[in-house]
Amino acid sequence: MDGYYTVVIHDITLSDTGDYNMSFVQMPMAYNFKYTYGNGDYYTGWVNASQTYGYSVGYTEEITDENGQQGSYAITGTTTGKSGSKVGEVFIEVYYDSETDRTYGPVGFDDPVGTNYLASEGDYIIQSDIPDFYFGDGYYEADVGSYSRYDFRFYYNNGSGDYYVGYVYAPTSFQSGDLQFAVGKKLYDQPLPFWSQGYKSLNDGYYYITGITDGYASIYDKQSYITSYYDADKAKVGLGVNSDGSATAANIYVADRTAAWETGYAISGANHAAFNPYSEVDVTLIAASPALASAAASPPASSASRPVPLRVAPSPPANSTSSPRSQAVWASYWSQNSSLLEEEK
Amino acid sequence: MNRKLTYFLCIVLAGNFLVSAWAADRGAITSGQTVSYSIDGAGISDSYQFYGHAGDGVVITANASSGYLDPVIYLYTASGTLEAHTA
Repeated sequence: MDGYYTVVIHDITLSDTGDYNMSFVQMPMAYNFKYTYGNGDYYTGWVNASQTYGYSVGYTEEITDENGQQGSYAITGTTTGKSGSKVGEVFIEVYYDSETDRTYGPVGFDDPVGTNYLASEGDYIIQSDIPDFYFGDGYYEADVGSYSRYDFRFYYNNGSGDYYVGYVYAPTSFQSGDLQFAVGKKLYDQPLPFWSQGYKSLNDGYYYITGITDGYASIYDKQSYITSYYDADKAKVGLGVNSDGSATAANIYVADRTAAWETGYAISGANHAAFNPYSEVDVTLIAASPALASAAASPPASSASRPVPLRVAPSPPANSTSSPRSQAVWASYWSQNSSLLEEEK
Repeated sequence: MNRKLTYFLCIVLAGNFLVSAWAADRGAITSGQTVSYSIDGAGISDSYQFYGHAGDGVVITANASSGYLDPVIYLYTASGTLEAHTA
């Protein structure tokens, strides 16, 4: 039963004074479990729980995952929990990804990844040749291999040579009409059906895909970033980039509609100016722009040919705070059905 | 003499014994802790408390470090019921 127990050390020799050492180790009772996602992925582990909590071998619990598929917990056996761990804590041993037919070790193998019984756990899987993937929270699957990061440069095509560097996440082997995200591909705005919704003026600039990394989780989908801006015609230097006109060059930007819609603020000295696929910047323009302190509240209207709204989309899972995801804000990748593109007709 | 008690806290109770009235209360003990004390004179015992859940496992080891003690380990519930003991 649950409650306070007493340990008594008694000397049965009834002899004189003597010394003793006593060591005490407590291991909570634990239940082995398996959580299976609707797509066949699963992970196994154990949860510390008293005999009176309600778990038993054969216990099941159904949950609908983020893809709308039914997943379920099943208690498969009993075991002894890790010394010093507490009731309610959840440990994960292995994650199996059905899409890649591989098993992966979780990051938190030696530590609890949840503290409030089943469905409280969340963890990342790690493997040397893939990024880490978040799973858990009762329903997130690691979703290995479904999305890719596409590194790109966007080149203006007015002879200046200016470009900016960034990356966007989209489904692996993404293709829409004639548009194919592949290394070495130059992506112009027309006559691709991709931008045929009426928003196809990149001023003859183009995106150039420079690298692809596969195997990202679905929670990355529709995020994009700009990491640097190169002023080729005036200063011939890379400029710091931030996302909101603040004084600090965060060197990262989250676009609202990603490629073909992204906007960053290039920084030079105490000033900054906005750029996007339709309007480049250089150090001369930046120098003539408001200083950072005042510009942060009101970005210079003349620095971009069209205003680009900065919208903050839903955050990733709350537990995903130990990876770059914590800095990420969701946005959209190139979308054939973008409502924003329609608005720009 | 070295004594080791390995036990899983059960809902089913064993026979009834009383905690020694002579036991000196040494307070709470937590998992991973090792303590050293003296037992001073015949018939004197030491007692420790911990909170356990049904089904928990405990491993308690006691050994004499000086003198001629032969420590025996008893485990009692809050109601004074003996759950387990070493020989």
